Amino acid sequence: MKKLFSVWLIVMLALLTAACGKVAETAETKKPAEAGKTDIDLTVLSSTMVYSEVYNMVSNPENYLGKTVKMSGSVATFDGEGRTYYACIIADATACCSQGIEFLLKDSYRPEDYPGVGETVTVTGVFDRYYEGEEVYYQLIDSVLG
Amino acid sequence: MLEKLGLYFSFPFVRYALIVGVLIALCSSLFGVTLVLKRFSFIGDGLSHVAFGAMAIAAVINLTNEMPLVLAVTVVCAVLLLRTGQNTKIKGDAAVAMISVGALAIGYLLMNLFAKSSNLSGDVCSTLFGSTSILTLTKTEVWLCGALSVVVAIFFLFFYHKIFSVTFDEDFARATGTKAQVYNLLIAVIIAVIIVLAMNLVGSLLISALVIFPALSAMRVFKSFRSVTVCSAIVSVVCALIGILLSILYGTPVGSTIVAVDITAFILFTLCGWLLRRRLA
Amino acid sequence: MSQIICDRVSLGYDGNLILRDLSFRLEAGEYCCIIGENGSGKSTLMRTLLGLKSPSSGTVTFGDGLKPSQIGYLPQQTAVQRDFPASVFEIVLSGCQGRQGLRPFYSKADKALALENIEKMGITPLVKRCYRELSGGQQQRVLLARALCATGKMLLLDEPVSGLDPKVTAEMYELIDTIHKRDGITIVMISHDIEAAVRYADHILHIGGDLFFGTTEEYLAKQAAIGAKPGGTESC
Repeated sequence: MKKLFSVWLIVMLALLTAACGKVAETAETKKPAEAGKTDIDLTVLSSTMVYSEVYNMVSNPENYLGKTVKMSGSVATFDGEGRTYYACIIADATACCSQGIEFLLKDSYRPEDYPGVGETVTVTGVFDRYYEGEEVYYQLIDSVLG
Repeated sequence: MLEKLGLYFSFPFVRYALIVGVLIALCSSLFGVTLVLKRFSFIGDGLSHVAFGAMAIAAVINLTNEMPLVLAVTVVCAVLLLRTGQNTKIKGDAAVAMISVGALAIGYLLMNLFAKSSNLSGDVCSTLFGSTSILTLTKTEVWLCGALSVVVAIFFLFFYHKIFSVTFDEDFARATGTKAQVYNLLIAVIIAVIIVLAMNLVGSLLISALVIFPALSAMRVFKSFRSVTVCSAIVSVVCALIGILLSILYGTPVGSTIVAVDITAFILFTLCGWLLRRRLA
Repeated sequence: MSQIICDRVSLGYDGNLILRDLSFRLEAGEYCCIIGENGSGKSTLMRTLLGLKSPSSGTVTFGDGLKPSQIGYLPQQTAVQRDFPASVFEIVLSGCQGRQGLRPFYSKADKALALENIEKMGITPLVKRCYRELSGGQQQRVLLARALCATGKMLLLDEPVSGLDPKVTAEMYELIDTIHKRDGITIVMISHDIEAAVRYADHILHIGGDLFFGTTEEYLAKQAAIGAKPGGTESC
């Protein structure tokens, strides 16, 4: 079971973070994260709420694009073509309803600026959508840690 | 805690979940007594697995709104199962077991092979155990669930006495001119609808609990059909409310939390019933 | 015109006939006991008369203004009923259901009829009680009251005294006799109890082994003729 879950977690991560090699060329909205202003604060929600809210963000993105999202979770990485993608994962006890969002740090593409895998971080960034072929992906851009 | 609840209520999906959850809990409990007493509980259980299979098919062919398909498949299966129950080529319960386990296996297989979802285990887990489905309904689903619940409740109210006669003594009802087969069929269809609805609230593996526990709890204490029905409706609604609130407050899966609350209520009612009998004796 | 005419009726399940070529007629106001060994098809015959099962061959016709749905029925208790949460009044009232059609609620007249039949059965003090907490005899009275709500013409009783102690059994027989005499309701009763059958009934239908249908006197005469005590060949 655990193995199955981890396989799917990886698939999920892969889909979430793969193919963003072209770094959000088609990003529709770009607003810098304003310090101190958070539209959606996932850190104060219970895991059930987080799951539901992230689900809603992904299924009804129109209401959320451009909003500043704050979340805390553990860092997971995925190695794509020539670069590493970072995601913040909020796990639940059974691991099946984990939710993660990929994030890009503000003005930085250097791996050494990113936290290590498994580290617990708080990320604040702007919710954004981009297309890769026919697939749609969501990420937090202009993110800051802490 | 109140502060936190206040914050959570500012999310529209929490408000929808509470409204839809209460409606679903209400109508699933109404037919609980009939289901328990007509020994239909196993059909309910089988149908819930069928609904899961249908859900998998809907996911595979990428339907945006899967409820109509799931509803249609489940209703057809309900009618078929009721038929096989009467014609004994394959014994009723064996047929139910076959269909239900088959649907479960094929459903999961299909989802694994073909589903495009990025979070398959999440989907499966949510469909089977209702961890969060009620919180992630689309607007259309909210309206559909609401409307269906109201239809089920009205049907129950309108046919209350007929459901009573057919449940208490089908032979007598038939012999004295009540069209029992028609009502059996209607009851089966309604049960299918309830199962599809309840799947959103507690997931397909836990549906029977939602349907049966309130009825069993009420039967511990109350003695007339009417009081049992009213009581199980109240128990079911209250448990669903408490369950949803607890699960969003403490981050537990919605379905299993509601069922846990239902079990607690059942234990309390059993105790009450025991105490009442001792005082009378 | 007879109320029930059975014409060369054969009964069975899955091609196995358990009863062949049964013909008899029942007139209004008669009291007929069906006797016979276990498995001889008594209950099946009753289910056929009620229209719950169709005969393998032959016909059952109703006459004298009797419609099939106007027959009151006292079935054997089922497991479902033993733990059914229902009050006495709810159950008796459900006897009126057959006439309701699509009307969702009972009328005042239905409720009055239910109370009247509860009164007749002498269970008025139990009206609010829970059915499953009653004694066997009381439960039978409740079901009898329900059957009376469904009919004013004919009652079919499937072993109404099974499982009752002798005193309650005697009361039950008296009660049925009262219904028969006072209300002029035709009674058809399945019984194991030959003594009671010949005492109360005016007609006897014996099925299984050799078929017999006739008045009680004829039955007794026939039994005497073949040298057997009434019921001597019967087993319970």
